[in-house]
Amino acid sequence: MTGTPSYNRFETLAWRYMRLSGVLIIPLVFGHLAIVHLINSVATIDYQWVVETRWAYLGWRLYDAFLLWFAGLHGFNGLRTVINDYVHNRTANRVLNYGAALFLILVLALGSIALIGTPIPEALANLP
Amino acid sequence: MEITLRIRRYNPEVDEKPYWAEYTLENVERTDRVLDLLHRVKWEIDGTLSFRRSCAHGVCGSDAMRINGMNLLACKALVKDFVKGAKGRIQVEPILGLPVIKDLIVDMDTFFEHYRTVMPYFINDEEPPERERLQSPEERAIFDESTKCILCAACTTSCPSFWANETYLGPAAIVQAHRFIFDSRDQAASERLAILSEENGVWRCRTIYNCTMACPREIPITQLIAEVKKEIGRR
Ligand code: FES
Repeated sequence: MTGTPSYNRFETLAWRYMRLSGVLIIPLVFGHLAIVHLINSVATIDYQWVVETRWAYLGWRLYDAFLLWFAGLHGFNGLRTVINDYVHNRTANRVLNYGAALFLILVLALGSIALIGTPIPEALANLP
Repeated sequence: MEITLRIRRYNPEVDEKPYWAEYTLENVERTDRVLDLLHRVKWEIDGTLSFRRSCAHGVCGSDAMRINGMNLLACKALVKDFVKGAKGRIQVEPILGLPVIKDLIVDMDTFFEHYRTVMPYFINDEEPPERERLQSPEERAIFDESTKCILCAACTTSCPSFWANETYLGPAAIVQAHRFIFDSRDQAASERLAILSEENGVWRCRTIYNCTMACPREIPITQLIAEVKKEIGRR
């Protein structure tokens, strides 16, 4: 046969990513659930708690950053898959895919800005 | 025993839409096949009932249909698998996801188009050796399962991914590609893998396992698809 066949690297990568991120998300999500819903309670958690208690530690910021990016991209790729499966009209398919991508960018940007931009409060200075 | 056969019928020339018809058959043996019952309806009750069958022995792959909700070959499905007592019902419909032409006959064009897409034939441009292209038993074993496919379409038409989007090549086409991709004598593996790496190729498989359950030849289809996925990942 002639020439080098061209592989669709994007779809291959997307598939790999889903598997890998899926495994990573399991501990991240359950950890998050445990911290936010079991150990603490969403009724008492507020801005103050997140910024002063949790995000005082770089480790927790990284944890949340991983969760944000891995779960965000994982969810988006899943949504893209569903759209491509079920929406056969070209225009509608495009609109929905771009919409989903836009939403993803918005969520990632907002989350990242909060994670990076929130100043490390004084609490850090009084580490036990 | 007495069996009521409930058949999804449709004649586009007469019927506005498909409907269920019921036929009661007496003196049915437990070991009769669903195909025998269909024959009895056609030969004794209503000659207009249409379905495909050829070998009647699970070899040709003509008579895949949805029997009690499962994709099976009518010639391999025994009455006793569905009815335990002296009386019972068996429901037969055409396989899903392909347009119905008449009664249990579906239009297989899409299915065979996908089959042709993966180049399901031996490709090797080298001069053949004097006697034959040799292969070790180990090399042969790698694609042994995929040689068993009879193209009955039970797998592809049990796949929700295919139902949702008929551009998906489907499990049968991937099994057929597997047959040649892993054949040490064949030289077009990369071409086939490239085709299967596209969006409509293996990535539309969501590991649902319906195909594996549907296969009348007991081919571990989902596993074979995974082998193709891995092979694409390695390239
Ligand atoms: S009639 Fe040939 S497989 Fe059933």
